[in-house]
Amino acid sequence: MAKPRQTENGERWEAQLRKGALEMAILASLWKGRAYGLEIIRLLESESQLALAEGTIYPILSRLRSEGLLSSEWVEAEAGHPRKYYALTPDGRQRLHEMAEAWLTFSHSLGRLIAPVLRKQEVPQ
Amino acid sequence: MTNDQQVSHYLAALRDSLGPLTLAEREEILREIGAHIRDSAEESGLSVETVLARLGPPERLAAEYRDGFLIRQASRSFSPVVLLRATLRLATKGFFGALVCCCCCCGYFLGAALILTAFLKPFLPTHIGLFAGPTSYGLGVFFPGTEGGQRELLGWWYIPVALVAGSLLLLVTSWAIRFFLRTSLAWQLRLGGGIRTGRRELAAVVLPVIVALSLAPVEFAHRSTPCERTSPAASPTPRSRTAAVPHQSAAESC
Repeated sequence: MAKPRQTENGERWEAQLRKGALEMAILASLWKGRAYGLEIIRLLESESQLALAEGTIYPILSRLRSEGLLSSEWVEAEAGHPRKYYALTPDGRQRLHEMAEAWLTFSHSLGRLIAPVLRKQEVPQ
Repeated sequence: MTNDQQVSHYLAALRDSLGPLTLAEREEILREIGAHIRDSAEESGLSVETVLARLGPPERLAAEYRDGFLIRQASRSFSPVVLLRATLRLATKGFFGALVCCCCCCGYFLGAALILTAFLKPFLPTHIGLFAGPTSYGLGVFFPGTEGGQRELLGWWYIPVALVAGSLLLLVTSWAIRFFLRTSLAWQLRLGGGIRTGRRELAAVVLPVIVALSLAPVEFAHRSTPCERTSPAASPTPRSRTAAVPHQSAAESC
């Protein structure tokens, strides 16, 4: 009876989790060099399981730029129309570094906490 | 042909929903999204329909841009209107936002009330001031005689003091909101959970605001015992519809 409700809540939680990680993932996808929106989306799709409504990425890019973490420029491409390329600013690099460290510390300690959950299949009563 | 129509239809809807952004920002967004649609359709060979569906509805896309813009603008602005709008928007995003919105309403309300009493002082010189009674202090509109023993401490100094205190309160409220908006810019938007305003969130906004608005005038009505004459000070803001309720109950009790 309660099963569908449970899965629904689980999915919502997972969606929130992905959303929270998205900003760091976007910054990280620019670590090696500049890229335009669609490239970032493709990279996120192939490198991580961050499948998302493609539109959500553009408002985040715009905000990161206004926060000074990203810079952007229009580049004339062979495709015949210009594309907006984003790159990390020095501030953005530093912020990403801090985020990555915080993420690893967090997931490491949380991993220790939840390790027993997956080791034992039955719920102790 | 029909593809082009679909795209221009989508972009037109996006443009319409991007209302409050500046023209330059809007054009830049439209250019970028337009480039995305073209690239995406060419690269992956997907139909324009699929590409647009994967972008999400234009209204939702625009709403995400607008949220970022509104809060960014407000964290730089000092206009109470802009700040109130931003906090109201934040308030729909959860309990903490609603709390901030509530404090912001209280701060502006009390600040405005103090300034108003300063202007009323020349007309009601004996009833407005800082009063010291045997047991308590009272600031604002006060009708001595019922409790007895109160002394007015400030005299005409009340006017500059109330003006400065009221202005300071307005200023501090604005600063507090801006500080909050700037620090919450990051996580509130991301973890606040989408743009949709659920019924629960709406209740979380409306209830505290009503409570805040009704508590503030109670404080004033409480100190002013002869009820009919206090109404200008008891409900100094145009929001007197909610303020009227506790005021009346105070009136009945005396």
